[in-house]
Formats: sequence, structure tokens, C-alpha cells
Amino acid sequence: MNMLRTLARQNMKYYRKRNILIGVAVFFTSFLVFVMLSAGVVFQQEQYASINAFYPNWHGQYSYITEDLARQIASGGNIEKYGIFSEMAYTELSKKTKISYRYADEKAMDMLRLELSEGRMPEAEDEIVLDPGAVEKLGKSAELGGKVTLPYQVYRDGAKDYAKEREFTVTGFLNNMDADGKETYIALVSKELLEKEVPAGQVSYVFLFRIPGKDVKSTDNAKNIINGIASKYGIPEDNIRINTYNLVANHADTDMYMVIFVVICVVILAGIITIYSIYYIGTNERIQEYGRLKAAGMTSKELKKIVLWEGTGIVKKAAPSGIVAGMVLEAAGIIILHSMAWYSMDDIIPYISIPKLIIYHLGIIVLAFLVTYLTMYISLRKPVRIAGKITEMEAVRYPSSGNAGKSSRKRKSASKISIFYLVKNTLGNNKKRSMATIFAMSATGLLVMVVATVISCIDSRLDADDMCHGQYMFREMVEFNNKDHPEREWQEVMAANPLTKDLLKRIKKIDGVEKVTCFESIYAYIDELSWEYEIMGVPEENQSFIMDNIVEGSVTYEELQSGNKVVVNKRSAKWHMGGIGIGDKITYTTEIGGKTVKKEAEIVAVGDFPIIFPGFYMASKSFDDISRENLNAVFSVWAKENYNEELYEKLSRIEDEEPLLVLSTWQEQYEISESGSLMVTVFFSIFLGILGCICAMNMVNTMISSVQRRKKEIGMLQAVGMTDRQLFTMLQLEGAYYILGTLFVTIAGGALLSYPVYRWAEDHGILGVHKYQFPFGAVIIISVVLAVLEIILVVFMTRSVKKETIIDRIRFSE
Amino acid sequence: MEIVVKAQDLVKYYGTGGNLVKAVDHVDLEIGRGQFTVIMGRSGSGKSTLLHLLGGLDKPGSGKVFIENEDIFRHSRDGLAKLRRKKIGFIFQDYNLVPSLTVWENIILPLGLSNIVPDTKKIENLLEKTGLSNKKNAMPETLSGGQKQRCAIARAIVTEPAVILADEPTGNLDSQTGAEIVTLLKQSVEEYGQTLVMITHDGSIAEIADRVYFIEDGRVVDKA
Repeated sequence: MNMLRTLARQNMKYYRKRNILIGVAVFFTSFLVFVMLSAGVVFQQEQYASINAFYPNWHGQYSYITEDLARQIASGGNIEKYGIFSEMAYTELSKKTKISYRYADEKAMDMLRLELSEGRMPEAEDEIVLDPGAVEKLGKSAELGGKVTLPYQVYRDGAKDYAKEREFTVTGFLNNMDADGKETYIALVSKELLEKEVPAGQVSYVFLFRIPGKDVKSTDNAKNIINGIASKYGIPEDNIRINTYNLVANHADTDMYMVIFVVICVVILAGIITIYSIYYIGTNERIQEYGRLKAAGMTSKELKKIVLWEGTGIVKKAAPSGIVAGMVLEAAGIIILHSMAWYSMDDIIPYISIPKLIIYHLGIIVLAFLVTYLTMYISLRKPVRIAGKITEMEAVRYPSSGNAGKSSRKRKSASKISIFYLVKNTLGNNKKRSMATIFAMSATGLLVMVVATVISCIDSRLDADDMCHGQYMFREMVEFNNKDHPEREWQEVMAANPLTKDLLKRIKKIDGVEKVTCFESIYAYIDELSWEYEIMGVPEENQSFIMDNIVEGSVTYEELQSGNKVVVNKRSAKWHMGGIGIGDKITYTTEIGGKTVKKEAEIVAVGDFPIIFPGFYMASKSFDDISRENLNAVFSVWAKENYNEELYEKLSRIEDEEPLLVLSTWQEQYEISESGSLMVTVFFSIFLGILGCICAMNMVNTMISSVQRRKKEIGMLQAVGMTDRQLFTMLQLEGAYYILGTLFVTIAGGALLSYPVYRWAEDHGILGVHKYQFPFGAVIIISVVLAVLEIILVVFMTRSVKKETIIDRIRFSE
Repeated sequence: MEIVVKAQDLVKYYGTGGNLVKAVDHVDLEIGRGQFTVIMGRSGSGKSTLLHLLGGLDKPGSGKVFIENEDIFRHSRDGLAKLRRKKIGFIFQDYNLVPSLTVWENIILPLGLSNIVPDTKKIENLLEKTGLSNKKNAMPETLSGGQKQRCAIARAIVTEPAVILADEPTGNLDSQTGAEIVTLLKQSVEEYGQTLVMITHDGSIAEIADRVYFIEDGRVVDKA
């Protein structure tokens, strides 16, 4: 056994060059596996810590609870911690911002992540704790212990009472976090004031609580517990809120683990393809050597062990280096990410379980090593089998050099010889090996193409088009079942529809506006789908919007005016309507102006409309018998430029004036999408880059082994007068054959393979992919990288050949 | 007599210190046009190294080699390769044919590397002379040792070089085939007026040579 191990070790040294290549592939495999796993864990731990550090950490919330009921629930079991708060009053600072005057106990404060930056909680009737942002918004100044007069409307008898003012003494300030874009500022008042302002019996609390950690086995399990407690105390469903963010952050996120699993599978596949092909070529070249070992008395089993040990020996050396490199990258990544984060490392460290993190990392190290070992083991299966089958006679029969082993005994000679002919002849004589190399290299190329297709389909411009029709878009703020905002119910919005003809004229007059397109809509309950859906009415002057976007079926605009024919949005149908399609019928019921209309319509076509728009489309005229009122729902504003600050400000003013209008801009959506896709692109580019490195090992091996194997032949050619330049050209042409072959298979195969992947991504709404785009960029990058790599390799190999004299090369195999 | 091959104070050492091997140690020799020269010596005496230096396959530590009065080591690597193509033909003990090329292709290989379109008639003549006419399209692996060496001879003389350097061309062959090869070589060089330098252990070959150099420890110890 020791002899076998010694032989395996000596072989590893003897075939150093080849083993370095395999080692590099192993290094990258272990590196990628470690990085993927640790990124997942670090991301989850970080998410967990930051959510626990800064975001509300209650699990469930019950509204409209009396103090007595709160005590009963708390003592009823399954509650780890609870707190109460009550909203006493509010004051509107602007259309979008308000101050909420609340009383909250300490535990509620803690679970709501409300902290005093200075001072103390209010105790007396006239004491208050303020958010510095609210003070600033009010245009007032306040200091600790100072007096401030504030307006507020008390919630009394289920309504907001008349506004009044009161002078308060400021006892503290809240941490002013996330000031930009904040909609509600909190002002904390004393319980004394709450009980004074709101009549006894009318004070209702919000009961916040956490359930014991041991009971939370999954997010669904936690939801069941919260709903169970509510039903036990007769709390209606509408009064329950569940903190899904906290639950998801603290418990298994299966989606993320799925992504990591798929990525690791891809890495393993690339590793196997590369290591396998390197071994396959190597084993074929060592057949005579193995034959000699068998002739010397070695059994097939012993021979197999040697091949296996050589491979696993490389894993033992290269995998730890890959893991260490992964750890360095992880540490660097954490430092870089934290330098960009809005919170500091110190803020979240108390929420990170260091022992847990160490255990996770130890697990990841072991897993990364095992996965790499498994990759090598799978790669070695065939070479081991080949080695095991070699007979003693192979030592005599198999040519130790040259490549004539499989050539025919006779063939028609060429009338003249050129470098190109020599290349053709070499490749032709090694057809099987050449094809195997091309396919091995293409396999990684295909993976790159598939991933690159998905990336290239992530188009921020398309995404922005999907979220904003026009450079600016006004929509009505329609919301159902929001008790705080009954005015947002569709019927209420329609009664005071802000999208009027006057507003249209006003927008059109603004400098920079080129065109405004209007869309109408109704909300209707669809029996077949048991849900309320929006149906868009497209006016005649804008009929091309429907007609140009139809992707399946056919209909004329006139047919859509009847109200019994409808076009469905492709993605809405797929994702939200259970795959409803052409030929299906919908029965829709809408209520407007006290009138209920029930109609039937047949889906006659499928269109690809912006996702921000509704699921169904008809002509505006089809709404005539439903309502003659103003049913405008969207004003799409088309401007000369994608974004103009001055124009935006003018449109924003309109938004501020109209409480039920929401303005969105194409630019804003584009920037959101860009920042999102940038992360995905950077992540995948790094991933593909490393995957490409694994693939490159394959090519390096092919080219180097092709020269190593033919060292003697090259020596012979040079002995009879082949110049270095001719040798360089010959190797370049051989490399070009591999590259062109690889590119052909990669591009053709990639195009065939990536389309179904795109369809799958589109079907599942992955990364917003919805328009196929061939990854020309990736093709150019792959081509350039392969070409540059080939040139470098040939230069390197020609130089390495030059280092030896011709006679040394001719003697190579003697 | 016109000197075609000239070695001037040629030196080639391998290793250093105690491991120093003096493969070629200050050798001077001159070979005239059309001469058949044999180099003899024991294994490891440095005769093959000397032959490789004369053909520019190896680089000397010092000294010069002139082929037709041209200092071959003044050329660049590519220049030397072109010179070899034109002026030197090599024949090796183990033939060194390109295994993936047919007999015909192996023979025309030096012409192809010089972008010369082969004269079919001339090559067919050569095949006839070397007895390979019926092996034109055969692969080297199917040939006997003697046939392989005939093919190597044809390849060496196809460009009609001034010098043929043969490194134990009969070493792998039986005595009868060996004799046939030497006869063929001698006839060929006589026909084309070439100079033949051959390494051999075979005394009978030395007997028919115009000149014999004896090498020992890298030095020319005797001439005959």
C-alpha cells in the first residue's frame, strides 16, 4: 500500500504541469462553492441582524384591543413578550406626511424599535417626546425641556375631531432615522393625556407581541400560532397583522437556498467537465505507462487506486487554498459592503450569534471540501475505469509518442504540403479528441451563454417601460379596504376624479410636454376569478396601444367597443389569473354611482402590456353603458427628454395639490431597476468570470498537452527546416480550430438552450425577464477572451518550445 | 578540395563542477565536397553531439561551424532553420518520420516548408531509387525499419542539400538491410555530388568511407 501511495505521490510530481491545471480548476471549484455558501449565510445573518437591530421585531399585532383584553391575551400563553400602544391623534403636515401622536409602553417601544436619542419618556399630561424630523417639518424649533405648541386632531367616536393646539414640554427626542421620504412621524404622549383626550371606553390599543422562539419552526407555523390566538379571543381577521419581514428574516428562506443550490450545481458541473476532460486526455496518454505497471505485476484494483489517489491528492492540496481564498474574499466583501451600508458594523454585531456563525462556517468549510472532493471523484470515474481495463500488452502496443495510433494504414497523399495542411492533418487524425475537447470547452461556454441570456434579458429600460408608461405617469391612488383611507376606494376616487379634462389641458401646456395619453378604467369583480380586477378602457385615438401589443389572437378595435370582447395582459394572465386565455369567458360586475352593472366578455386576444397596467383591456366606448362619468385612470405624459428636473417639479406640484394622484417617473423606475440589475449583473459577472477561469483551464490543458504530446514531432519538423514563425502559425491555427469550434457550439447551442431558459425565467417572473435578447455582449466577450487566451497560450508555448534545443525535443520520448 | 563543412574550436559541455561532461571539446575538422566521412567512437564519446552541432540542431558553448563557408550560428533561429532546409539533410537512427503523414508527404515535407511545389516526376524517381514506389501512400507505422530509413533518406536528399548528416542510420537495422541503406546513401550522394557525414559503429562502413574521425571524450583523437 505504501508503495502505491509513493507511486501516486511521485506521479503527482512528475505530471506537475498537468496537475497544476487540475489544481487550478479544483481551487476555483472549492472557492466558488465556499463563496456561494458563505455569501448565503452571511447575507441571511446580516439580514437577520439588521432587521433585529433596526426594524420592528414584533411577530404579531392585534388592533382595537382594550387594556383588559391585552392582559388576558398576555396571560393566556404562547406570548413571549408583549406591549401596547394607542394612536391618540394625528396632524397632517403635507399630503404625504403626518404626525401620529401615540402613547406606547416600554415594551411596545422596544418592539417598534423606537429609541430616545436623548431625554426621557413623557409622564405628565403636557409632556411629549418628538421626532426631530417632525419639528423641522413644522418649521418650529424645540429643545429638551423647552415648550412647543403643536396642532392635533384627536380620534374620537371613530372620527377625527376638530384640530386644536396645545403647549407641550419636550422631555425627549426620538432617533430620527430614515428621515428622507418618511411619511409618518411619531410623537409620544403620556398615558395621562391619552386617557384625558379620549373618553373612557373609547381608548383602543394595538397589542404587539412576540411568540416564544421554540414555537416558531417556520414562518407558516408562526402565522398559524398568531391566527390561533386571535381566534381564541375573538379578534377578527381584519384586526390582525403579521410581521412577515421579521419572520422571514429569522427563519429559513427556501428561495435563497434554492438559488445557492442551483449555483453550486452549476459550479460542480463546470468543475466535472474541466477536470474530467483533463484527466481523460491525460489517461489516454498514459496508457503505455499503466500497461508497464500492469506488466510489472500491478493489479487493476491497485492501478485504479493510484489514479484515484493522484486526483484526491490534488484536492487535498488545492481545495484548502480555494477555501482560504474564499474566506479572504468574504472578509473583504463584508468590509466593502459595510463601508457602503447606512449602518455600522457595531450596530448589528450584538444581534449576530458569533458561535452560530463559527459553526455555520465550519460546516461550510467541510461542505465546500466535500463538494470539491465529490467533483473530483465524479470526474475520475471514467479515467479510473479506463486505467483498470488496460492490459499488459498496451505497454508494447500503444505508441508512446505521436498520434498515429488511430490513423489508417494507407491514404491518398497530398500533392503538396503546407502549414495549413499539417494542421488539418493533425486535427483530422485526432478527430475524436479534437471534438471531445471542443465539446468539453463548449459545455462551460453553454453555461455562460445561458446565464448571460438571463442577464441580457434584464433590461433596465424595458423594466422602466414596464413600470411607467410615458416619461411621467399620473395614476389615481385606488386602494380597497384601507380603513385609514376610505377615500381611496375606487368609487370614492371616481366621484371626485382628479384626472379631469382641465388637468389634461394644464399638463399639455407645460413646457417640455409633448403629448399626454389618457386611459380609462373600471374596477370589476370577476366571477370566474373570484377577485376584483381593473379593466382598462383605451380611447380610440390611442387604439394602437392595444393593437400593436397583441401577441396572440386577433381583434379589431371596433370589436373591443362592444364590451363583450376583451384582451388580456399576457403576464397578468399567467401569474395572477391561473393561465386564463383566448376563448375563456369572464363575467364582470362593477358598481359605480349607485348602479351595478353585470356583463360577460370573451377573451379574444392576449397582449404584452406594461406590468403596471391592468390585466384586461377594452375600448373606452365599451364603458359607455356602465358610466358616463369621468373614468380616467391614467395620464401618461410624454416629454422631450427622459427626465427634466424643471418639468418634474411642475408635475410634482400637481401631485401635491391632488391628494388622490400619484406621480411616477420613468427615470426613477429606471434608476431603481439599474441599481437592482447592477448588483445582479456584478454578481453573475464575477460568477461567470470564475466559471470562465475553470473553462480556461480546459483550453490551457488541451493546448499544452497537444504540444507536450507532439514535442518530438515538432522537433522533427524543426529538424527538417520548420521555422519558429511557421511553428507559431501552426499552433495558432490549431488553437483557432478549437476556438472556432468552441464558439460555434457555444453560440449555436447557447442560442438553442438559452431560449427555453429565458421562457422559464419569463414564466416564473425571474428578475423581471420578459423580452428575449440574445446575449451579443457575452458572445463578444467569450470570443475575445478565448482569442486572447489562445494567442497568449501559443506565445507561451512557442517560447517554452524554444527553451529546449531541437535535439532535446527529438530525444523527448527516447 | 573545396571545404564544405568546417568546425572551428567547437566546444559543448554539459553540467558544471564535478558533473561536467565535455561532450565536444575543442574540435577542429574540415570535410571536403563530395567526401564520405565517418565519425566513430564509443557510446557517450560525443560523436552525436558533434553531428548535431554540425547540423545546427544544438548550440555550441563556443566555436564555429561553417557550411559552404557560412557561419551557421550567426543566423537567427529562423535563419538557421531555413539554412537547414536548403543545405543540410538529416538522417536519424530512429528515422524520425512524422507519423501522421504518408511516405510521399514525409518526403516532400522540407519542400512544403519552403513553399516549393514538388516536382512530381523527381519525387517519383526518388521513390523508385529508394524502392518505395509501391509505398507512396503508406503510413510510416506500416513500414519496415529499412523502408522507414529509405523514406528518411529520400526526405534528407529531396532538397538536394550540400551536406547529409546521418546519425547511426543503420543502428536499428539488420546487417543486410544496413548494407543496403549505406549503398543507397552512397549512391545518392554521389549522384547529387553531396557530402555525407555518418556516425557508425560498423567498421565495414568505415572501410568504404573517404575519411574516418575517431572521437574520445569529446576530442578528435585520430583521423584516417
